[in-house]
Amino acid sequence: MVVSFGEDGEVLDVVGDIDWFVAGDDTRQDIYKRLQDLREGWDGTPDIIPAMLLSQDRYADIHIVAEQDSRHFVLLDATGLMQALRRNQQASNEAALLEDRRRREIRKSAPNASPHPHPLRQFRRSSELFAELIDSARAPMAQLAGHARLLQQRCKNDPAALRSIAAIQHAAVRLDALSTNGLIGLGELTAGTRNLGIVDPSQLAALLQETFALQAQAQGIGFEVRVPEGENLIEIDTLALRQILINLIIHALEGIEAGRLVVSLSAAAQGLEIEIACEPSGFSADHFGPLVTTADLLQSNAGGSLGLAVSQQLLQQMRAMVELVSRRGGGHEVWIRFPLDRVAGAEGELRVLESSLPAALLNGEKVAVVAVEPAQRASGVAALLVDLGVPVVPVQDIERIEALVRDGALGALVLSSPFAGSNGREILKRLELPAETSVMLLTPADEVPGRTGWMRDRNCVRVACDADRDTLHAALRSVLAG
Amino acid sequence: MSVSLSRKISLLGDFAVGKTSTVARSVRNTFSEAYLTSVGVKVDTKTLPDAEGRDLRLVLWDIAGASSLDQMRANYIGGSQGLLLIADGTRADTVDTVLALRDQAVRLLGRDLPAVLILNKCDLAGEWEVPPERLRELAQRLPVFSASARTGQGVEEAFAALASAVADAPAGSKSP
Repeated sequence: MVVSFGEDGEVLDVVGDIDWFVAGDDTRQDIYKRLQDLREGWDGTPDIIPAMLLSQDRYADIHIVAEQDSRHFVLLDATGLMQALRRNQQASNEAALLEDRRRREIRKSAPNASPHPHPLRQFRRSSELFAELIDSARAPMAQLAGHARLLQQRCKNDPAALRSIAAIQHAAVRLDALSTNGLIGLGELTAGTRNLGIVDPSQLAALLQETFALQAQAQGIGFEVRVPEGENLIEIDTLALRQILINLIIHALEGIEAGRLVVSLSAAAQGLEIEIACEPSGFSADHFGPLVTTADLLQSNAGGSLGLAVSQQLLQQMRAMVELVSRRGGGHEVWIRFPLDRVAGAEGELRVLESSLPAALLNGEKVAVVAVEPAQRASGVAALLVDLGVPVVPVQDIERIEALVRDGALGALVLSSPFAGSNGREILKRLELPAETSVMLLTPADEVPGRTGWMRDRNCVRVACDADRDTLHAALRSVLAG
Repeated sequence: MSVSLSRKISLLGDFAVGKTSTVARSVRNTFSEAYLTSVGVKVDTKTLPDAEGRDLRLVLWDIAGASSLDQMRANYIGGSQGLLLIADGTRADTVDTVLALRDQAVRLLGRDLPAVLILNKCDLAGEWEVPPERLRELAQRLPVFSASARTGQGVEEAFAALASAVADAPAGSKSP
């Protein structure tokens, strides 16, 4: 986004959503004042200021472009990246402080002891190198993107210039994505619950529109991001979500020659759903195919799209479901569902997402049966079900399950394989459960492909028997919600 | 109250010496016991009277701590008119680090500029590592203040000294 100030410091123009950078107790005026303060100083104050904390937990790379009677502050959001970097630095600094403290204690208790080795220095060094890598790459990209944005404003009526500007801007977007993809590919950044932040889908849609509309226009195609009106705020790994979307849209733009690229975002009861569609023809199956046909693109798809591979890794880390859906008119579209635990209301307060568990289970008309060995694992699963408000019946023999099925009381079954000396699949075959019954099968880990620890096939979820609590919880929520 | 002067001040120091806490104490009179690493840069302002009674506005660039000025940090200090150097009195090596940072900043800017040194965490007397003779030696080179962002002791005195030092220095002109 761009904020332009006149010679006397008055705001002349704001292009983009300044409210994204307004957080905590700050107001828009505070942000404008902070930007103005950047001009103070001796001749030669910097015109590129990477990673400035503009408001509480809101970072921007800032590029200041001066003209005769005005100054333009181009802000590129760096919040997600800087928050990830801060977590990394925090761990590194705490480790260094701890090592320092130990060294002092040793020195106090044994003043003549030989110098303490520095086992954590290597860790700290790599962390600093990581930080430098990010910082070094971002400043020139901010410069590139900033100039492109300003030129775009000035050349609104020059189609040829706009095409060039679109190419420059898209190159900057791709370089930015590449830098983050590299870090994710190297394992320096991961997605997960520790990175949770609040996302406003309409703000996200505006960002995507701003990032890709010009390039789409230059390619001669339409670009639209759809968000239902009044959509809830959601709690999710913001950096990972944005990186996935940027990667997939870049990839989508490479696979479309005509028509319209439509990205739809909606927070449904079971999670955040995203559709990426090419209208009217759809994408060819092989364009996004590797996302669903290959278990680990980063390992097995050398020479393929890094953006696609990194997106797949992030999607797996976020336990998202991904499908390539056939369109009636031909071609395919990508469908993704991210599980969400909580959404935020208009006031920003978080509430637990109402999962659409079957009413028959929640009102006790039916029960969930836990037929799991060993007993400790069974009690862990039962506790998770109780947390979800589902009545649980633990059983030790197959006959008891059969009795509950006969009575029509079995709504969900969590079964370990083996159980009572029998193979889980054989038990399921013998039980002949109604199609609507939810089943979770705990199997040896090598029978569950991918890295999410669970996989779903219609109303049955297979989970690794040694899965952690979070994985079991995610799998249970998925299968019970239908 | 009209502001007649403004000065850009860069805060330099190793990580976890208390730069952000010192600014928070001085600007907002707050302190948090939790250590939260800074990344990038944060800009705050503090207005105080100079020796001649004029209002002096200090624009404080709180730069993420490090033992040297890399390319990004070198970029931040451009145009600085004063330095607030902060070290942790319970980690003697951070004094050497911040002095080296000052030398590096002076080299990068190509000019000398006023500086004040705060030895933070003076409330932790039991862990203090900077001996009196070292303090005396430092005081001969630049204004030095033992201070505590936690209690507030010495913080305002250090800022007043800095204000006095930068107010007298040439202002230069604003960047174009």
